[in-house]
Amino acid sequence: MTRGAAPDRSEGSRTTKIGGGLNEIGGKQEEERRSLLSSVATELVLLVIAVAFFVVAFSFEYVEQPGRLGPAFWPQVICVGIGVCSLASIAQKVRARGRPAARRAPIEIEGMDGVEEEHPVIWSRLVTVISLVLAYPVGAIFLGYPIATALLLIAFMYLGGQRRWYVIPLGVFGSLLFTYVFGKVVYVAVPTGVGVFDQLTVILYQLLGVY
Amino acid sequence: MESLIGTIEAIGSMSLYLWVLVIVGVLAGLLVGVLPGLTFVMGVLLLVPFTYSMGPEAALVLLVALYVAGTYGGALTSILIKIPGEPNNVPLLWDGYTMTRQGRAAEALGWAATAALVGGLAAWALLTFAARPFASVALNLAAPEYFAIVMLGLASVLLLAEKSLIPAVSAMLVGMLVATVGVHETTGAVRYDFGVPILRDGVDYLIVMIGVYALGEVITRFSENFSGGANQEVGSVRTTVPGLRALRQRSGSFLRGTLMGSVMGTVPGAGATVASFVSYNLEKRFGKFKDDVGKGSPNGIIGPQAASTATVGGALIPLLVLGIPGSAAAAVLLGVFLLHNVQPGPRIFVEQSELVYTIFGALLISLFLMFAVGILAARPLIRLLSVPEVYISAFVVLFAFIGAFSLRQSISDVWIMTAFGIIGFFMQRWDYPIAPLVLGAILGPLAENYFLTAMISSANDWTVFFTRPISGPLMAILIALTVWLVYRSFRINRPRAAEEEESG
Repeated sequence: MTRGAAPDRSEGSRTTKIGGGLNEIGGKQEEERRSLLSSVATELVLLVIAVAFFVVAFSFEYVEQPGRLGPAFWPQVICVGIGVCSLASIAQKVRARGRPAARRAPIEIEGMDGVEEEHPVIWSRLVTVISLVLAYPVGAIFLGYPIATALLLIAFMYLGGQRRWYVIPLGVFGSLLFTYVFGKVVYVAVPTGVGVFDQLTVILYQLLGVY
Repeated sequence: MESLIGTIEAIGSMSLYLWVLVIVGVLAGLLVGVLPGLTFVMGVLLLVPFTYSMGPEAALVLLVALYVAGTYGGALTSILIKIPGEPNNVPLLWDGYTMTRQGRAAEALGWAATAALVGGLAAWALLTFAARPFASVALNLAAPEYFAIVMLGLASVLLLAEKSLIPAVSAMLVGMLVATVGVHETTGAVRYDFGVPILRDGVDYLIVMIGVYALGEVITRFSENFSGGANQEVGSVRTTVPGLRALRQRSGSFLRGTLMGSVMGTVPGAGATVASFVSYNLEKRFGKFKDDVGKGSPNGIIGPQAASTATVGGALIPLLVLGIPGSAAAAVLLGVFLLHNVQPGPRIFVEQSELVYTIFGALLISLFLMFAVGILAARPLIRLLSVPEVYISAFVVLFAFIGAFSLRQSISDVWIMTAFGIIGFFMQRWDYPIAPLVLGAILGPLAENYFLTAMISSANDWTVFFTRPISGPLMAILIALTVWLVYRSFRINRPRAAEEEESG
């Protein structure tokens, strides 16, 4: 018994396994549709951003001067450009449906064909590194720059593959060096943290001669 | 001639402090050039926070020295151990490393150093002698001409995206849109701040650059487990400088490389990498020793290396004369100029000529220093490759953080930079080029200002761009270029689609 076009991926793939012409076609169509959707996801996001920014531009507040272009003109022109590009790219990909190679043309610079070597992304490492770079500013706000920096350096090197004891002194030394250079030489007022961490940072600054 | 005299005087009056900064800049440039994962653009960017407490002269001397040496440092690793420290050093692998395998490493290193020196000197001469006359011409330009020039700059980066015009244009427009955030100069309206106070002051393009170039690269390398990195050693490193006869024999390569580099340097978005690859192709197609290129010919080193280093002088011309950066590193220099309240443009040659000549002088000294250090210190530089990349990346994160934070002493800028780091990573994965995004963020506000100024001064008569003697032809070139780009993209993509249809 045929089930018609499969409403979701799992069902589609099951019916395809069982066999039967229509089911197989339905499954493939569904797969193609999903694959097309994922391939145009970036363009869709850009399109939404362009529309949103275009609309928001109408609400800019300013003193209107007759005969002069307002502050919305330029961003709206850009939004139209982004929208047109996104639609053109979507159209290109829809036309190229079923031709996987044509879905995303690599960026090629004259004379550079085949030069860039791409290494596979390890997704767990991607999550790790993004977490680290996001945690660092949070750490700097609450723990203060020196402590957050030491922790970042140690965690980054350790999770990056250097599971050696000396990443701890290296991290601490690196943090102290940066704290001293930016506090004493370059005069950048880095965050000192909150509560007890603020007091700790101040003591550290005094020990380093920054204050 | 006035520029040459000014430069000589500037060198003569350079303080010990500036000399030390040149040396530090050259060493730092060679260092970032040698280490894969650290590009010279990143190097220039990450040194910016150190320049806040310096005067404009010291800051620019340091960064120019780093910039020029950075174009050469990666040649050493490309030639000796087949690891290009910089993307622009990739063409040096093909002949440079082949020469090393043939037992001619010393010769290859000598050619690379000489090419960097010759290319750099020729571009320096062009900068010194041509920048001032260009500036005199530029003094007569008004908003419509500047608008046309900036738009040509924006279009030129698309010239490099052959088959992927749409992603390149999209990236550029997104960069331009990002640059509209904040208070609008002409009307005072606040745009796209979404109630976030820091966004009222806009998004500095340096933050965008630090994010996509520095942090984006760290995210990429970490998530790839630092694959393809370097951890090799080299036995004995020696350099042999070519003799005069050999130089004469291969003068054509020097000339082609230098010309290509100088021209490419002036094109926003092109830079050393493109110049290097195009020069290599030129040598392979038209060079006197074209049949040997790819098999261990010095010409495969000379052209790309001369071009790479020549881009520095080329990129400084539009930066100083028009205030329009010719490369990503030059864009950082522009940011440093502005941070120190110096506005590059034709008037800088009148109002701040000493600063300009000091930059010319620093560039010249850097070239000779780079040559000397490259010849004498190749071995210790190569040894740096034994440092695991994860250590370098960890410190790049710190530099990126402090670079973003110190611009406005705001943690919000760090968040913006981090967001652009993540965006940069995904752009790379999804094949959206980064250079147009950055270029859009840099040139977008300039384009808008010039456009609105021209419209106001002409009472909203848009024909002003087409009827003036200089802006008219420039706009015609812009339109022709745009039409050709669209046509080329269509033509390139069409046979591929047809092929796929046939095979599918």
